[in-house]
Amino acid sequence: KNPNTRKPRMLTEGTVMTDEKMRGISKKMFIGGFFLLPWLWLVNVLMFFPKFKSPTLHPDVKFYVRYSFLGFLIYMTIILTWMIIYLKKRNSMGVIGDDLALVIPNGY
Amino acid sequence: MKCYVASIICCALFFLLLGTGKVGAATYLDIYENVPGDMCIRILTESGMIGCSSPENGEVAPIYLIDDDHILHNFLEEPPATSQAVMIFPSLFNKTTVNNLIATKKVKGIILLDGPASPSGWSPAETYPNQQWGLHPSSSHVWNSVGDNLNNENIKIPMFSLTSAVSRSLLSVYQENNNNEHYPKVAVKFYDYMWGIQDAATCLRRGQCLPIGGKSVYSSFEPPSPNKKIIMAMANMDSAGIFHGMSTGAETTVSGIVGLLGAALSLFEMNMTTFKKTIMFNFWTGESWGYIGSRKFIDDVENFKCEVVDEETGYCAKPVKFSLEFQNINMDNIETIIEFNQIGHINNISDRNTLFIHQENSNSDFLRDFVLNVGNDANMTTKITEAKTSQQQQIGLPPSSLHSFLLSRPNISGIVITDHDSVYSNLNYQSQADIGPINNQSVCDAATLLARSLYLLATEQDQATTDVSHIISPCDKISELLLCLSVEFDCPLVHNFLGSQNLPKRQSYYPGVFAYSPTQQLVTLYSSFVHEYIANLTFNSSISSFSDCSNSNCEGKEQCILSRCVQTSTYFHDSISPGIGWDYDYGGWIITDPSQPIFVESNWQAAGMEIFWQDSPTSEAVFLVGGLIIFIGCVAIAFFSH
Repeated sequence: KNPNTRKPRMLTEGTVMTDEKMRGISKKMFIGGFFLLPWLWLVNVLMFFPKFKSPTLHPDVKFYVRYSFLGFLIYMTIILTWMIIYLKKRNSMGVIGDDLALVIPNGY
Repeated sequence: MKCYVASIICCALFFLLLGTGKVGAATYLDIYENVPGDMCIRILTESGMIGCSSPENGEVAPIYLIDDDHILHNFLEEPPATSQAVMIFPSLFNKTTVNNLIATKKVKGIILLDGPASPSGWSPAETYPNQQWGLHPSSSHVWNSVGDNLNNENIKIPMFSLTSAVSRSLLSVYQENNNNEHYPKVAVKFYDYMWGIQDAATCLRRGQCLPIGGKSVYSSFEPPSPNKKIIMAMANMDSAGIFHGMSTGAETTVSGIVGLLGAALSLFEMNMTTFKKTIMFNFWTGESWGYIGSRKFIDDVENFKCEVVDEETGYCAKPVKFSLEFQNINMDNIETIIEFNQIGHINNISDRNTLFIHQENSNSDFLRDFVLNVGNDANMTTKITEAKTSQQQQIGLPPSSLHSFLLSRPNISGIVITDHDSVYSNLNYQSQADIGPINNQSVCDAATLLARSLYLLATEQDQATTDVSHIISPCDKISELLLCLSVEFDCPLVHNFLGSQNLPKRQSYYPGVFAYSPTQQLVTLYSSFVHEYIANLTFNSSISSFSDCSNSNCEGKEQCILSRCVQTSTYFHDSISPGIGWDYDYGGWIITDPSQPIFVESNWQAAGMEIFWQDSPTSEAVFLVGGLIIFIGCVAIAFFSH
């Protein structure tokens, strides 16, 4: 095998992520999620939850991750409830139901 | 490596070619055979939906014959394991059977074969048709004793009806192949996916359905004037039923149409100058759907105002109206109405057929006695008598267009002449079994009676002293009309008036939709025929010129009938619910008055039935699993051989 070829590495492997950096990223994601971006909260959780076992982790990160997760759950509950109500009652909502839809399929 | 890639590409190209182009089409034809049939479609009303529809990708099931009560009972008690497409004969077809079959959850669709109707009769209409739109919306009287209201049921599976030839061939296919437990079986695919959903308002707003209606025809020997009183003779020109292509309506509709045409034939060559009142013949379409034909006419006569007149042609551009002559009619000038509603029953029991006169209140006593006397003096084969239930509280008139007129002007003197007393004699009202034969003598006598009554009333002569024996209906012409309109529409008489176009064998009197938009209005073949036929009888004797109607250049208000330009007071009138109108700003149909009858027909794209061979579920599973094993095996071999 050619010794000059190297396996590609993850982005975070090449750059060393200091605890300060982690705190910054997590805080930005936490704030960003309030702009109707619940998946940003989920990414925050998925990215930094494995880091919890590291002892040098800034306590703020735990705060951000926990509340991001809560925010994500609340938002998803609201969205799913609205989706279910709209999809079930779309036809009986009259003009409003049709105006809210981008495409109205035939026969549904 | 290259071999694998090449072979995969080759296979892909082969299958692509197979599925498309000429090779694909030929393969499709080899697999599927089209089965022509009339389908049950979805109609939307103010509150919901009625009729049938298939799922979007169609519905597939093997065919299964139920040809007697015993088999039906077994099917309902112990449905088969896989879902079936049930073939059934008319003697077993009714609302109870359909609902029970659907409830087994093992019926994917119903095919109605051709066969004799139930001897005790069946009707898909209500027991009091159009009750809520008439004079007695809360009456409990039963006019249509065999009606089970299948028409107004929301049926969740597709239903198709076959003509006799197709029915026979499908039956023979079944007998050869499916009448046992072996696969492969013949399966049918139904596809009639209806686009309309929920109710009429939603569906119209989305542009997925169109209002039911058509063109009513009215004709008089002279143009209606605001000064002369009008005597109207009317009949309904349409029928309904569960399969709209099979609304043959022989007794329901055709008998009435021909009765009126027969009376016009008798009066055709009279000297009209002695007529002090205008005689008008009215053929309403759309009456099965809440009397919309007569209601729209009355609504226009009373309320129509043209906002924008088209300068060149003289018709109204907003709202679009192609014929404005009705504006010369004043509702207060309508003095007398005589209506025909089902006059062609063949009475097997007694030897002398009877026609009954119905009236709503004592306003019409004079008219009733007048017509009775004309009838008795005429020495007809058919007896004429007063109906027993007439004038009885909450019963009154049978379902008829006269209801609409009396709702507007209760003082009109009006009678309805029918072949039944308090209950319909017609045991196949709006059924596909209403194909005749029609009682020629009854229709002919009714036409004579009407002609003589109209003549005496219009000339204001005394019935007892005037001799009208010279007014006789031409029974041979009436017989020909009855045959053409009920049995063989593709006949020389109809071709004479409608030209050499392709005509169906049996005419169906379902009105269809009114228009796609106000400038794209539709007219049915039967409306056209009635228009041409009666225009040919009521035109002014002065004929201006001869021309070929295909490139006619008739002047002004003249119409081209049978290669002649004639002055005739025969017009079409819109038949559409007065509660549905066109929104000129938004560009679509909307409901303007929900209290009027609202019926709209759903749109659909392609619809039909196909048959093909279907293999057993086990065999299909074997093929799938075997294929997967081969695929995985090949991939494994390719992988491990490196």
